[in-house]
Amino acid sequence: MRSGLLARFAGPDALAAALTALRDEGYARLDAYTPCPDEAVDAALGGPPSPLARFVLAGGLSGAGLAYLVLWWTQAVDYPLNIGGRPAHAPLAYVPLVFEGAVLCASLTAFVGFLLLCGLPRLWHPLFEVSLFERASIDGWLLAVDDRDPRFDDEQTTARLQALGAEAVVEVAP
Amino acid sequence: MTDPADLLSILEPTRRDVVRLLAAGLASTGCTRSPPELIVPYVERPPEVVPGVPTVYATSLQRDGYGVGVLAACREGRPIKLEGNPRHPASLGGLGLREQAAILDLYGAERRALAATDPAAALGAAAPDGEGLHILMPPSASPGVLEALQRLRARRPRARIHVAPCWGPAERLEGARRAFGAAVEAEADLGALDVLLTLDADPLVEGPSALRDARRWAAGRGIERPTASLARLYSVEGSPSVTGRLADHRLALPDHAVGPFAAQLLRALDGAPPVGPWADWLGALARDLERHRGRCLVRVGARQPAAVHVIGHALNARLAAPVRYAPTPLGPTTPWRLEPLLDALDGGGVRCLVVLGGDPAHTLPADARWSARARRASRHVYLADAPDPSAALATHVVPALHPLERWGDARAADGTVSLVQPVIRPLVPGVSAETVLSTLAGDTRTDRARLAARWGHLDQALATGVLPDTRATFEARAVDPGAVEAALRQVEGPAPEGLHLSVRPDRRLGLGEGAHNPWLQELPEPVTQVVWDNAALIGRATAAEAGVATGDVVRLTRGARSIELPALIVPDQAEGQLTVWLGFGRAGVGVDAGPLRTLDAPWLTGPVELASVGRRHDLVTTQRHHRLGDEPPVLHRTLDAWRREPDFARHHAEPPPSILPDRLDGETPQREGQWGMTIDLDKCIGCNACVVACQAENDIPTVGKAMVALGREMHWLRVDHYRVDEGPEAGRTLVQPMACQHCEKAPCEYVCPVGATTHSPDGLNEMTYNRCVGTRFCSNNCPYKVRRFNFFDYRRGQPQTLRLQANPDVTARARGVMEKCTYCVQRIRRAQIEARAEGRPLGPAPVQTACQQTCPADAIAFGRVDRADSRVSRERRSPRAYAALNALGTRPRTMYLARITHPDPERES
Amino acid sequence: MSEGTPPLLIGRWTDASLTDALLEPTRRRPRVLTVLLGVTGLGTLMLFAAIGWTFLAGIGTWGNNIPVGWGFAIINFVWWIGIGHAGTFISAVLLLFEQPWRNSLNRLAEAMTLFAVVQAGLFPVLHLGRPWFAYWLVPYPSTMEVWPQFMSVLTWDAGAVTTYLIVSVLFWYLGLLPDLASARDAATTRFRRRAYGLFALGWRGSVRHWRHQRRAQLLLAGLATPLVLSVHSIVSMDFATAKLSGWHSTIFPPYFVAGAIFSGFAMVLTLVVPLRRLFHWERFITARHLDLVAKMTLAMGLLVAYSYAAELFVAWYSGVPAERHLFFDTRPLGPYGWLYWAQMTCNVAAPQLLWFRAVRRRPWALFVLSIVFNIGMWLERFVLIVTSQHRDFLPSSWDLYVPSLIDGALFFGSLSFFAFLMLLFLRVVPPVAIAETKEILHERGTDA
Repeated sequence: MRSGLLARFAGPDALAAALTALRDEGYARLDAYTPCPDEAVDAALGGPPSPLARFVLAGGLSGAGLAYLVLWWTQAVDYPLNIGGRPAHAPLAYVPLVFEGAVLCASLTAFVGFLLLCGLPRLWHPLFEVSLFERASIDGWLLAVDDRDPRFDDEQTTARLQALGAEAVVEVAP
Repeated sequence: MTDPADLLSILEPTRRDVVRLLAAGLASTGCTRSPPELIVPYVERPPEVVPGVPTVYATSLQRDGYGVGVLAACREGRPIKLEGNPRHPASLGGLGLREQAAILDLYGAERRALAATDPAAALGAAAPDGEGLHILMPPSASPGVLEALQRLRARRPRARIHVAPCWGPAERLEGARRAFGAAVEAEADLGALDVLLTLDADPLVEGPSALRDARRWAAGRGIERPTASLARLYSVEGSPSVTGRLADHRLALPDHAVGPFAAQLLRALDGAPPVGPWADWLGALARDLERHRGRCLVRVGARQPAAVHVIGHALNARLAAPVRYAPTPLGPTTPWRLEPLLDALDGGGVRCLVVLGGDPAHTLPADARWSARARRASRHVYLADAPDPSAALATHVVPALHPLERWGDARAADGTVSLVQPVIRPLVPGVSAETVLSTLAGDTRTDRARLAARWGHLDQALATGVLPDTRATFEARAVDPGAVEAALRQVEGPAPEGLHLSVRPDRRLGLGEGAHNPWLQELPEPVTQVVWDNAALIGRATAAEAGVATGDVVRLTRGARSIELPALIVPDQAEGQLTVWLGFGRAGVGVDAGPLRTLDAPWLTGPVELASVGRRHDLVTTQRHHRLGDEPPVLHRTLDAWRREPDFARHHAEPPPSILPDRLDGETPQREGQWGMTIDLDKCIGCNACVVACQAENDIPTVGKAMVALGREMHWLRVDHYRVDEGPEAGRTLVQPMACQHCEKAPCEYVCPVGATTHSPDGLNEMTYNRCVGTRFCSNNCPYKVRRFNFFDYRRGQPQTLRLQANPDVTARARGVMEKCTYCVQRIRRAQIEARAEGRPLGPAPVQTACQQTCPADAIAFGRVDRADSRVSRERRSPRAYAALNALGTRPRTMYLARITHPDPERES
Repeated sequence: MSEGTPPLLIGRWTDASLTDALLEPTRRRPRVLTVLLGVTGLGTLMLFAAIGWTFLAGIGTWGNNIPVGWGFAIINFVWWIGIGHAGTFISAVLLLFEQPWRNSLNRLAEAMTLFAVVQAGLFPVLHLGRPWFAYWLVPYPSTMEVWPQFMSVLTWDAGAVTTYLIVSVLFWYLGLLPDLASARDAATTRFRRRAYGLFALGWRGSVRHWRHQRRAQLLLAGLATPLVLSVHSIVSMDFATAKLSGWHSTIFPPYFVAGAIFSGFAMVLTLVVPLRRLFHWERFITARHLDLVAKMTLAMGLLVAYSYAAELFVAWYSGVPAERHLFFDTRPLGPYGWLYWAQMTCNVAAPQLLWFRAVRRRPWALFVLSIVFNIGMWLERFVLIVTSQHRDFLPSSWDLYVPSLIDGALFFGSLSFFAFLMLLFLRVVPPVAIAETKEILHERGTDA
C-alpha cells in the first residue's frame, strides 16, 4: 500500500473481524500489519499462499544438477587423475556435495525469493511517515485500505473502520 | 663414467672458478672473494659440464685409513652424491653410512672457521735432521703418505713418527703378528660359509672389508626354495651389534668374557668338556662347528686384545676355515705406541710437534693427558678437519683438505690401490697430510705430480678409480702353536666379577670424525635408534639391580675419574657390562667417555661403579615401540618351518578382493615401465646406510633432537626394528626398511582434497609439493606412516654452504608441505629421457634407487614389474614375497621377502 | 496444556510490555557482561596472536607430529561444529515438529550455532600447513588448470561447513528481521533507529510479509534439518572414510549427529541458565523450557551411550586384531586411558542424573552438568582423533601427542572469541525472539 487509510485495532481478534467484514463488503485492496504472525488475521485477509516452495524446489534441483556437473566435468573430463586406483567418475563420492549444492541453492533461492516477494529491502516506505505505524512492529494491529480500492472512499471507509472498532484511523499519503 | 680426457680437464681453473661462485656462501669465509664480473657463468661452457647432466668421477675415501672407492656425482661443478665404486674390491658398489655422509663434511660450516696457514712457514722451524720433530698420525694405507714418510725419515733421520694404537686396528694386527709372524689381513668369502661365529665382532659393518663382507654374506642368503642351504650365524658379544642382531644364536657375554669363551671353545674342539654357565651353549656350538669343518669361520672384533685374535686365528686353523692372508697395507710400520711421544713431551724434547688430524685431545684416553702435554711442545702444528679441541692446543692450525678436494691414493685391505682425485676446488685453503709430510721431507712437488710419478699414466686409473693388478696375493698361513699357548695362558682364568665398562667407536661418528655431521647425528643408531646422543647401555637385570631406568643420568666412576651420562636399557645387552659409544662430547652432543679410558685399556676399560645421580635426560629414539603387533609387518620363518609350510607367505601376497575395477590393469593404458621394489629381509642387515643415501639424494633436512623427540624426523626411509615376543623365535629382533610402499590402491591419495598426491601412469605414488596445502590427512591415512611433514621451514638458519650439496633434480619443499619417498623419481625420469634420446627401449631394471645403490648387502631390488625378466619381478614371484599389511588391500608396489633364520635343530629340540 | 505442566510464559503480558522486556538486554547492560566482554576480548586477542604466530612460524608450533597429524585443531573443529548443531536442531527441527517451546530459545540457539560455526570454520583453515592456500579446495578455473579432488571428504567438509554457515546465517537473519523492525521502532536514539532500520531492510509486518517469511522459514527449516544431519555426517566421514582403526566405522554419521546435538543442547544450557538469571527471563524461559532441554539432552546422551556400546560390540565382533586392540587396549588402557574414562564418566554416567526431575528443575544443577557434558564431548573427540592415530597399524610409528602452549591458546582463545561474539550479540540483537514469543502470548490468549 502506498496511500490510503490505516486503522489500529486492539488485537488480532478485532483486526481479523474487521478484515472479514470489509472483505465481505467487497474491499479487495486490503492489507494488515501485525507485530507477530497470526493465523486468524492471515485467514481473514485471504489471498494466494506463498509460491516460495516451487521456487525452492527449482533452486534445489538446479543446485544439485550444477554440483554434479562440476564434479563430473572436473574429475572425469577436464583433468582426470588416477587417485588411488579409483575410477575418475565416482558417483558415490559425489553424493554429499550434490546434496550440499542442492541445499545451498535451495536456501539461497528461499531467501532471495522471500526478499523479492516482499519487495525488500525497502528502507523507506510511506507508512514509515505515519505516526500510527511507529509501533506497528511492537503492538500495532493495523489494517490498511489502499485508496486504489474500487470501494475506497475516504470518509465512508474511515467511518466503517471506526464502526468496526478501530482505535484510530489515519490517512497515509504517498 | 666419463671420458678420461674429461677427467684431467678438471684441473683447469675455469670450472673451479664457477664452483667458487656457486659457493656464494663461502665469500665470507676468508676464502677468495670473487670479482663481480665472474657472476655470469658459462659464457663459454666448460667442455665437460653439460648443465643438468651429472659428471661422475671415480675417487676414494678412507675408511679406518683404508681406501674405499667411490664415484662422486657432480652437478655444475658441485659434488652432490657419493656412490660406491663397483670396481673397487672394498665397495663392490655399496657404501656404508659414514661414506654416504662424507659429502656433507665437505660443505660443513665448521671447516670455514679455519683460517689459511702456510704449511711451509708453519713447518719451517723443524730441525734439518729432524731432531725434536715428532709426528703423530692416524694409521694410513695410502702409498703416497707412506712414501712421504719414508722420504721424511731419509731426509730427517732423527724425526719420530707416532701412531696412537687406539686410532687403528692395533690389537688385530698385533694378534696377526703373534699368530703368523706378520701383520696380515684375513680374507674369506662370507657367502660360502655354513657357520659364521663372531666374537665381539661386527664384520658386516665394521672394519675395512665390511662392505665386501656384507655383500658376500648377503649373496649367500636370499634363497628362493626351502630346500637350499643357509649359513648359520653365532654371535658372542657384550652389546648387540648389527651382525649379532642377525645371529641365529646369540650369547650375551661381557666383552671381557669373550676371550675366555674363545679359549674354552678352542679347548672344546680339542675334546675338553666345556664348563661354566655357558657350557651347553658352547658345547652345541663346538659340535656344529665340527660338523661344518672347512666351511666355517670365526671373526674376532677389533677391540678384543691381541691374545683373543690369536685364539681366533687358532680356531680358524683348527676348523680349516676358508681364510687366506696377505700383508696389511696399513702403515706406518713403526710400533704403534704413544708412550714415547708422551715421554718426549714430558722431557721437553719436542721442538716441533706435527699432528695429522685425529683430534687427539678428544680421542686419546684420559691418562694420555694430551691437553696438558701437548702444550709443552715449542711448536705444535695441527692438520685440522674442523676447529676441534685439538686445534685449540696448536700453535699453528693448518686446514686439512677433504678427500674430494685433493689428490692422493689409498689401498684397500686387499692391497688394491684406488686413486683420490679432487672433484671440486678446495672450499678451504687447506693441504693434505701427504703435502705436510712431503713438505717436511723437502719434496715440493704437488700431490698430483707425485701421484703421476708413483703410478705412471693415470688416465685409465682415474676413469675406473682402481689401479689394475695391485691386489695383494692372499695365501694360507700356519699359526704359531707357541703363540696360541701363550694367548690361552693370557686369556684363561676366572672371568672377573662386577660391572665392567666397554667403550666402542660410535657406528655413526666413529671416534668423533662425524660429530659435526648433522646427518650422522640425526641418523638413528643402527641398533638402539638413539639420535643426537650417546648413553650407557645397560642390561635389564643390571639396571633393575641398580634401580636405573632408561633416561636416568648415571655416574660411572673408575678410580678417580667419572662421567655422567644417561642410561639406556638394551634388552640384548650382557648383564654386568656397560657400553658407551665414543665420538660424543664434541660439538655439544653427548658425553665423552674418554675420562674412563686408559692407554693400556682403551676399549675394555675394566670395572666401574655405577650410581644414579637423580637427574633425567631426554634420550630420543626414532622408534618407541618394538612389539610386532597383531598384524605383523615382518614375516619370518625358520628354515625348518619354511620346509613344513612352503607357501606361508602366500595369503600375505595375494591382494584381497575389491569391488572396484582395477584401474592400473584396466582402463588406463599401460605406460612403458611399471616400477616396483622388493626388499629382501633375509639380506638386509639393518645398517642404515640406505637412510643416509636417501637423505643425500633427496635433500632431506635434519631437524634436530627436539623435533625428533616430538616425532617429526624427516627421513623418507627408516629402518624399523621389531622384537618377536612369542613363539620359538621370541627375543629375536627383526629389521625392516620402511619407505613409501607406492600402493596401487593408495589410501593417501583419495583423501587429499587438492589432488596433491596422485598416481602416475607408471605406478608411482607421486607428491605434487607445490599443490600441497598441508592437511596431513594423507599421513593419517597411510598405514605405513612413511609420509613426512615440513612442520617448520627446516632449512632456515642452515649454513649456506650445505645447500651446495642439494640435488638440483629434486624439488625443494616449502614449509607446510608433505613429502615422502618418490622411488627416486628423478633417476627414473633421467633413465627414461636417456633411453628416449638414444632411441632404445628401457631395460628390465634401468634405474637404481639411492637406497638400493648404496645397500652393502644388495638387499633392495628395483625395476620394472611389467617385465618378467627383471630381478624385482623374479623376487615378487618368490614364495617368500609378501606385502606389508596386505590385508588392508593397499596393493603396495614395494614387497618384502620374508626373513629365513636357520637355528641349529639340535638346540631347538 | 495439561495441568501440572509448567507454562512456557509466566505472568500477564501485553505486546508492548513483552517487546519492552525482550528488548531490555539491548538497552540495559549489566556491568558483569561489560567486564566479561573485556575479558573475552582479551582472550580473542590471544586467539589472534596465536593465529598470527602459527602463520609466521608454521604449525610446528603445535603439538602435532607424525603419526598424530590431527590434534587440537581438528578436535576443536568437530567440537564446535557439534555445538552448532543444537541451534539448528532447536530452530529448524522443532519448528517442523511445531514445538512452541522452541520459540523463546531459538534466537539464542541460532546465534550460538552461528558463532560456533565461525569458531569451527577457523580451525580447518588454520590447521593447514599452508593456510593461505585454503581456497584451493574451491573449484575455480585457475591458471594451474587443476581442480580439487572431490573424492576427498575434506572437500565435502568444506562444502558442507560453508553451506551450513550460509544457511544458518540466512535462517537466523530471516527470523531476526521482524525483531530488528521492533528494535527499530522501539529505538530511543536516532542512531539506533537508523542502524536497526538498515538491517530491518524495511520490514513492515504486513500479513503478506509474514506469509512469505513464515513459508521461507519453514522451507529453510526443512532444508536445514537434513543439512544439519548431513554436516555432521560429513564431518564424521573425515574419519569414517579413513583406514585407521577407530575411524573406519559405518556407525559414525548417526553417532556423530547424536553427539553433536548432545553437546549443543549442553551448550544451550550453559548459555541460557546464567543469562536467564541475569536478565530475569524466568518468565519466558521458564522451568518448563529447561526441563524440555534437559530431556532432549538425556535422550541424545542415551544415543551417544548406545553408539559407544555399538562401537565396542562391532570391534569385538569384527575380530579384526587392530580394531580389538584399539578398543580394548589402546583406548581404555593406553597412555590416554584416563581421558577415555573421563569421557565415559562425563558422557555416559553423568547424563543419567537427568532422569531425576529434581535435577532437571534445578538450573544450577543443569548448568554444572552442561559443562560436564561439554567437557565430555571434547574429550570424546580427543580420544577418537588422537588415540586412533597415535597407535595405528605399525607399532614402529607409534608415538605420543602432547599439545603445545599455542594449541592451548588457540582452544581457549576460540572459547573467548565465541563468548565475545555472544556478548556482542546480546548487546545489539534481541536475544529472545520477540515475534515468536508474542505468538505464544496470543495462542495462550486464544486457549484461555
